[in-house]
Formats: sequence, structure tokens, C-alpha cells
Amino acid sequence: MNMIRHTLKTLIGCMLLIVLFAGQISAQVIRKNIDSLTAVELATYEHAIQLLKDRSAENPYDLQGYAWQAWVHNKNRVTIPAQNTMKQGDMIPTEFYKKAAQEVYADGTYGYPGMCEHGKDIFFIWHRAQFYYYEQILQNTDPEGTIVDSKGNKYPTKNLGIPFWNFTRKASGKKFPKIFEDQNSVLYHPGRNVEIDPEDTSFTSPYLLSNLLQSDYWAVFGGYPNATNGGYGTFESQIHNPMHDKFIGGDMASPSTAAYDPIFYSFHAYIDYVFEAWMEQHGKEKITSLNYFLRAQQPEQFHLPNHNPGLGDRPNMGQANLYLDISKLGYKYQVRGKDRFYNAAEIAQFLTDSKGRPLVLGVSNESPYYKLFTYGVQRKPESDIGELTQQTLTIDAVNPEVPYIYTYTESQPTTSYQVDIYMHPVNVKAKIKSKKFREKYFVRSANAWLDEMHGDHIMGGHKLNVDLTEAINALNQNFSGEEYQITVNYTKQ
Amino acid sequence: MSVYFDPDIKAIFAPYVQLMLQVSIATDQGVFSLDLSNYESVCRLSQRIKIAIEGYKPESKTAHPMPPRKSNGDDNPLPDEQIDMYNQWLKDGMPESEGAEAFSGPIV
Repeated sequence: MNMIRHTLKTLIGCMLLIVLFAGQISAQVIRKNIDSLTAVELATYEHAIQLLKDRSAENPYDLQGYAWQAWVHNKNRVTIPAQNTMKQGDMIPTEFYKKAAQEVYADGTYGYPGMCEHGKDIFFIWHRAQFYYYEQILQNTDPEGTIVDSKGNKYPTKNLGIPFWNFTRKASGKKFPKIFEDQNSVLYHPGRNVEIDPEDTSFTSPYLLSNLLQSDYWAVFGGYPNATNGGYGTFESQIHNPMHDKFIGGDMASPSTAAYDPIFYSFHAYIDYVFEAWMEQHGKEKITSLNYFLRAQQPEQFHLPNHNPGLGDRPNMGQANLYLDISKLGYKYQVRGKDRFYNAAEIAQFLTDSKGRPLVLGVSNESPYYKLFTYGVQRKPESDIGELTQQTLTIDAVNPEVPYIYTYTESQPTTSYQVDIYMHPVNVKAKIKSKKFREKYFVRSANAWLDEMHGDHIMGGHKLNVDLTEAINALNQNFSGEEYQITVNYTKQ
Repeated sequence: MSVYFDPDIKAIFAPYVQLMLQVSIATDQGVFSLDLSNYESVCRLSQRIKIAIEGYKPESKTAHPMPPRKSNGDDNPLPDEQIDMYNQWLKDGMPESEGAEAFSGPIV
């Protein structure tokens, strides 16, 4: 009898463990590189997105439709009719979404889909929150695979994770991951910049990204506090922004239209992985503005258990600190081989000349930043002269806790722009057209990603803050007390 | 001379009321509309407004100065005397009108 009891207990214990384990797996989906998905996984992702688009075709104001989820990024306010009569019909989906976003209904009420946070320290966490809801919505489109989409497909979506695009590596397609170039896929989106360099098909150097990840200063990497002046972190201005407006283009070139393009989600899923990697390396304690509320109107059934709407009169996704731990958000990343980042030793080894000597800013013929920025990719500092701005500076050590911020002021920012910054001795003339000059004195590039009407308000002038602390301290090792010139080449995108 | 929300500050912001109602302001207390014609709304977001309207000054590092540009693309800073008036109103404790009680809610 005892033996039977013991066997029963063991069996029940095992069953409990299996249930718990299974629960854990299903509660934490895996975000994979989109090129690593199996055919069924890819078809499942396409099916879920198609269902979102099918919903929007019937009612663009459905919070769980593709249009509304794009508006979470693109559109701060829309008018919602008492009863929707707008149907997509034969319209091109994006044109239909744009039209629906502009409609005004006499019997309507206001909805506040959202407005992305950019140029501030809540850039990463706001997009993480947006993606938490988006992923939940995708998983719940057809959990058991019983709903046929308008393309005739059905797959169970309950374990779906948003696949990421590692854009620092050579693309599997001509320029983007293959599936985004397949005109038969719901992931295809017309209008992207398809111009390609015959030699290099990637734009952002993995060394540049890995080097940025080394920065221990949250503001430098992730952005400056929202409550003060804001300001892009290095990741946003050096990698995120030019990927949007220079490399991908089309609807992705503007904040007001970016999320209409399905590539937006895989692009930003990788950025979320970068955010996770920074936290793994540097901890979460230094991240600022975590008590901020994240603006967007999302389906309430997916609010996190401790969601608190705060005191405001506008909808939100709760406070930023809800989104630090991805295990509580139900996903994790699977990274393999080339998806990992270079460590400090590998970067140091990379930053050497042909004879193996470390590159030294102002001394070596190639600046370390030039090599990080350009190696193996088509991205280069602009060789054309836009508008030049210059100022002199006496080289002296800068305390990284009080960074040296160069502020570029653009009074008429109708579209995105870029500034390439050089630091050179005052007796060396700035020759932007000379490759030798660019290679030796290039210290930073920063990009402002803008459009005129983002969030329905016309911008004022724009100020782009660029951190030059690292460059000045590098120069200070050999040129302390010397007069240097900062030359800024401004170009429109 | 004392500065009051009504009529002084309200008059400065009147042209921008409808435009700014479209925007949601994220703070550590919640997400708020910005109604520039409403006393409580302006008081609550008074420091954000200060940063924005001083944003055109050369020493400012604010990414998005306000008010927005003119339709011809030119800068559109408030005149210095209006910015000074706003700052004086802050210094005076943001009185709504003569004899009214000072704002006691949270400033975010």
C-alpha cells in the first residue's frame, strides 16, 4: 500500500513538474533572428500579421488591428466614429490607414493611439512597452490555429515571438532579410530604398555597435532625461536614426509613418535585444526616468498585472519600470554566432593599424572612430560639403560624469539631417572632400530623425546634442593644452 | 505690476491651445493633455513649458523649442518680454487671478 502511495506521489510530482515546465515555456516565447525561423514559424508570423491587417481592413480603429498598432508609434490623436463605416476595399492598406487617421467624425470621440518617445532616455523602454503589447496581440490573433486569414492560411500563434533583424550583418536578401523582399509576403512593403552598394550590403558596422555598448554611462548610450532637455543617446543618433532615414527609407524614413512598414517591428526587436545586452553588461540601476509613464492607448486586457494608469487624463502603458525584466514580459532572445557582440578585447584588437599598433586619434592616419564607423559597411562620412560650422577648443581632460556636449542647432528642421564632426589642429585646414582628412580627423556622426508633422504638431527648431567627451579625452593624451578646431559638416537626408 | 494667469498668461498661449491639445505629455505622475487655456493644466506642466519656450535661446540644449515654427519655416520664439512675464508669474507662485489662492497641486 505504501509503495502504491509512494509511486502515486512520485507520479503526481512529475506531472506537476511537467505542467510547471510547460507553463514556463509557453509563458516565455523566443524571439529569433528572422533568417533562422523555420518555414512554419515564418508562416505563423505572416499569418498573425495578416490577421491584424484583416481586422484593420474592416475597422481601422480596432485597437488590435495593424493600423492602430502602427498609430501607437505614428499618431497621437485620431477621431473614432460612434460606428465605423470605413472599409479598406480596394485601397492600398497604408493609404487607407493614413486616410482613416485623418478623418474627423461629427459623432466621434478622440482616441490617443500614441507617439513614440525619441531623443530622450525613455526611447528604449517606450519601444519595449509598445512591443510587449504588439506581441501579445499577435499571439492572441489565432492561438490555436483555427482562424483562416484573407490569404487562406491558419497557424497557431500562441507561441509567437517577434523575429528580429540583425542589421549589422550582411543581409540574406539583396539588402534586407529575404522575406521582406518577397513581394508575395505580407512583410513586403513598397517604397523602401532598395539602392544597394555592389560590394557591401550592410550599413551599420557590428564593431560600431559593440563599441557603443561598452559605454557605462546610461545617458551617453541611452539618452538624456526627459524632464530636462532630453537629447539622443549615441545608439539612437548614430545607429537607429540613420538606419531609418538613410538605409531603409520609404515609410521608415519618417517617425509619422515608420510603423506602417512591417520591417519596423523586426528592426526594433533587434534594438530591444541591444537594450537587453546593455543592461546585462552594465546593470539596470543607472537607467533614468523609470518612474515615467509611457504614452499610448493599448488594449486593456493586455495591461501588466501591476499596471497603474497614474494621475493623468491620457491613456498609457504604465510606468517604465514595469518593462525592465523581459521574463515578466513573456519573451527571451535566442542569439547564435554572428548575433553576439564583440567584447572589449576584440574591439581593442580591431582598433589597430596594419602593423598591429593601436589607432590613436590625431596621430594615426585613421581615427579609431572612422574605422569603427566604416569598416566592412557602405556607410561613410559625407564627402560632400553641406554647411560647415567651426569652433575652437583648448584640449583638456573632461570628466565623463560631466560630459562635453556639442549642440548643433538647426532652425528649420523640415526633414532628417546628419552632422559629421571632425576634430583637427587649428593649423590644419578642414578639407571635407579629402579622404585623408576624413580618415584622420573624423570623431563622430550623429543623425536627427525627424519629419515636419510628427504627432500632429509642427516642430520648432531642433537641437542635436553630440557627446564629444571620449574624443576629447583621447586627444588629451597627446595634445593637452593645444588649440583644436571642431568642424561640423551638416547635410540633409 | 502683478502677473496673473487670467488674462496675462492665457493671452500669450491663446494661439497655441488647439495645436497643443493634440499632444500627450508623459511625466512621472501620469500622461497629461496640455490645455494652455486651463489654469491647472498650465500650472501642472509649468516647468516643461518653461524649458520649451526658452528653447530658442542660444544657450538652451532643448531638442524641440516651442512655439512651433511659422508657416514660412521661420523660427517663432515668444518675444523676450512674454518669456520674462511667464517667468515672473512662476516666481510669484502662479496666481490665477487677483486675490485667488495659489496653485497647490503637483508640478510634473
